[in-house]
Amino acid sequence: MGLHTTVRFDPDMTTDSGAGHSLPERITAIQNMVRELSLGACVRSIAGGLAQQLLDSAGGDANAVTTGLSPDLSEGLFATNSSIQLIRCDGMQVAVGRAEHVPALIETGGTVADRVLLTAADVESGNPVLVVASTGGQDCSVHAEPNVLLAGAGFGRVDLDHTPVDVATIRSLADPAWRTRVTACIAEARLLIAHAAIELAQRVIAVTVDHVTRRAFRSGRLADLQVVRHRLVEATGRARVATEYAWSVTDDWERADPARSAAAVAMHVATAVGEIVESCAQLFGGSGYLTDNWISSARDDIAVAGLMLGDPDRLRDCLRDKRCGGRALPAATSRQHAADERLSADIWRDVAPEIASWDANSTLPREAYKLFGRAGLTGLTVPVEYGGQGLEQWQALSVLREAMRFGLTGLCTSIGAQSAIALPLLLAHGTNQQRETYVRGIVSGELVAGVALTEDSGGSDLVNTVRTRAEPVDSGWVINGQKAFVTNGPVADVILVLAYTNRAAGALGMTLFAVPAHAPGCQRLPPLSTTVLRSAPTGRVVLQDCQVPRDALIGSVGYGLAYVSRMFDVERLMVAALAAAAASACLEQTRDCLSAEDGLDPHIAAELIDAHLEAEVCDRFVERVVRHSTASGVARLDPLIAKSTVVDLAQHIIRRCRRIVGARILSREVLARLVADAAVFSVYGGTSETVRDAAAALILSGAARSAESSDE
Amino acid sequence: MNVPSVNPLDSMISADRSTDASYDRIKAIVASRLGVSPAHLDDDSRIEQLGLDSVALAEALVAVAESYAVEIAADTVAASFTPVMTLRDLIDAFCTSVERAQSDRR
Repeated sequence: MGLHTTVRFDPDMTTDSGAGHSLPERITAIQNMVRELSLGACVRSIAGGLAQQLLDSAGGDANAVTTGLSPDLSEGLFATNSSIQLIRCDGMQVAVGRAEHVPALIETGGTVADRVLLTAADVESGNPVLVVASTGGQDCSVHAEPNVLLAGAGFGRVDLDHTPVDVATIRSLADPAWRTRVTACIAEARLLIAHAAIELAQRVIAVTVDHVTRRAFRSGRLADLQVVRHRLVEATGRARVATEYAWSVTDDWERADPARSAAAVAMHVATAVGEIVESCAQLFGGSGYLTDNWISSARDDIAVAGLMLGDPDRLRDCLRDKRCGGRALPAATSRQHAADERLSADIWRDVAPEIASWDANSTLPREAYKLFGRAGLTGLTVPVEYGGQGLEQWQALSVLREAMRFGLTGLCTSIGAQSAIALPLLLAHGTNQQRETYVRGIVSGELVAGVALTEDSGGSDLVNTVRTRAEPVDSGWVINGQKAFVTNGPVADVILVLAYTNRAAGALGMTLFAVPAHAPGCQRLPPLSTTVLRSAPTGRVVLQDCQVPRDALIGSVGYGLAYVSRMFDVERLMVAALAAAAASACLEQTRDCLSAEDGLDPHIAAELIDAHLEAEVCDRFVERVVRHSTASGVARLDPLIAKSTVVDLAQHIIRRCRRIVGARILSREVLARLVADAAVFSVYGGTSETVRDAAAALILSGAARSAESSDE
Repeated sequence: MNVPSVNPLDSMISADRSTDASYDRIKAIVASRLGVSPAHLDDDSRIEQLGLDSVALAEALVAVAESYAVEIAADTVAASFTPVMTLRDLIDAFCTSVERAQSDRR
């Protein structure tokens, strides 16, 4: 009981008069409540708080009042269903009808809330109104509902048989200002439930991590199985993405339309938490269904959480773009481009017409690199003193995102190999001379850099796949080996080569070299003919007794893999950003494609709205992680999550677009290219499988959980 | 192989840095590589349990070397690493390497 009272949600916190409690503080209170009590307790508190807020009275007992709002008003919040009429009878206003699934109606001990705030149809005026009915009278009966809905939420049914209502409390919803206020309060309640549901899902993951690390399986633990580890990564990824989305909406709460924002979070969270808990509960086998196993009640609670958030069809209607009129299609997400205006769309519009001929040759002409250099695209994040634009990473990503609207995945990959890997490596570890020569040259487009890591034996696990060796000699180094899939390789002037200088030292035995393309023994083979990223020149680089001077060394001997590995975070975030942008671009294309036709199948319209929402979620996650990483160093798990979860979600959206568009894709060049190129997002920058292995190691070491708590 | 530093800024940077390798400072570097607070790391855990694979170790070593602005010979350190060593032993090994590199420079 002590626990019950100490963490009880304070309904004053949801009222304007309860000043001092910000929305984030209220969210934190609700999250604590989920951890210490239950989702049911949260729902009861949120319902009570909402009623108090709507009544605009800060005083009174927390359980004195609750809400029974009709789905027409609340989009099915709490799954409440009410059908009530307000009629005049014997000179009094009386309510007739029933409200089902009313939360916070019945206390644990059987005590009934004193008053219920209800939506009713005023028969006289024809307007919907809010009324307050007392539950004490004999004209009003209250029944507990069987505990199929959340235990502890106090769900019940109210039957009103000519129940007198206090005329002073009748508020017409026809009043636009009042309606707006009511809608905002409901939206806030929905947002709180969404945060509570995510918190519960996070706890489910934590309990599951604990379970699989203890549970014996064959000669080891359940956690040793790759399939189990990958499942945990998927669940954690969904939870991280949903968490960031909910917080990004929360941060923008005052600036956006609350009904739309809350509906978007609710739709996403309902799907995500359902998948998370199913995925986790599966790992408990039969014991996951035992009533005394916490996971089984969590599974039941989360299944109901979706209902608490509202009716998906009604929520989806909130996401329809009103400007589309009857077409019922969502608008393309309008983004704020904080990047320099000079760097936005125009350049891509100039480049887009050329792309077909570049694609046909699987390469980029030197003029293209110079064009990018003049436009400032190659050195977006390079400091101004080296000729760059000095932008933050997230600003640079928004420029590349714009390019994706024209389907330029190959171009972005070619630029990205330089901007996300080669340039940061040279800036961080190069000598003054290397920086002066190469960085300036690459930024201006006079020089092209390739990054040669991958070999025929693989690219995602460099410790075990690199065979290339560099031996010290009097004049410098002699390098032998073959590098595969070198982006920009066929046209590069300088190639960053990762080679073993001491095989026995493993990850500490690799060294990075800046190999000039004209060095004796360095041979760039012609571009590979590929089905994807056609305009990114990609090819093999053969190093046969290749002699480079001492000053080709980048940084210190043995540090090469560590240097490269640290760049992978940026690279992975860039790939995820491209994937999310490709998904948005595909949706835009699909929309255009369908706009040309009259009438739209409602199922397809619904699917497009869902897909738009998912694309927005992906985009926000990557942007927030990138922004956060520039502020305080990136949490190591997030780039891995971006590279696996976001890429998965984005590829799923792109497949949906392809299916919806069908044969029409054949006449849509940009869309066809976007769809083809999207396949590679789960391969380059580390395959999804390798990335999940790495993420699982972090999650199982408890790093993920600790990172969560240190974030707060 | 201890290759002389080629970055002229190194000597300037190191002038501002503490010259003593401290256990806590190195632990903080390792923790940041894992994306966790140092308080969450048990010194008696085996490094493999903490998710520190060989690549992560290499990154941690480079971060330590950069933090103290010294060259730590990668191959000699690599020889002393095993996945079953404790975090305490790892940090001690880093401390020793930093101190050795600092005395070499003096």
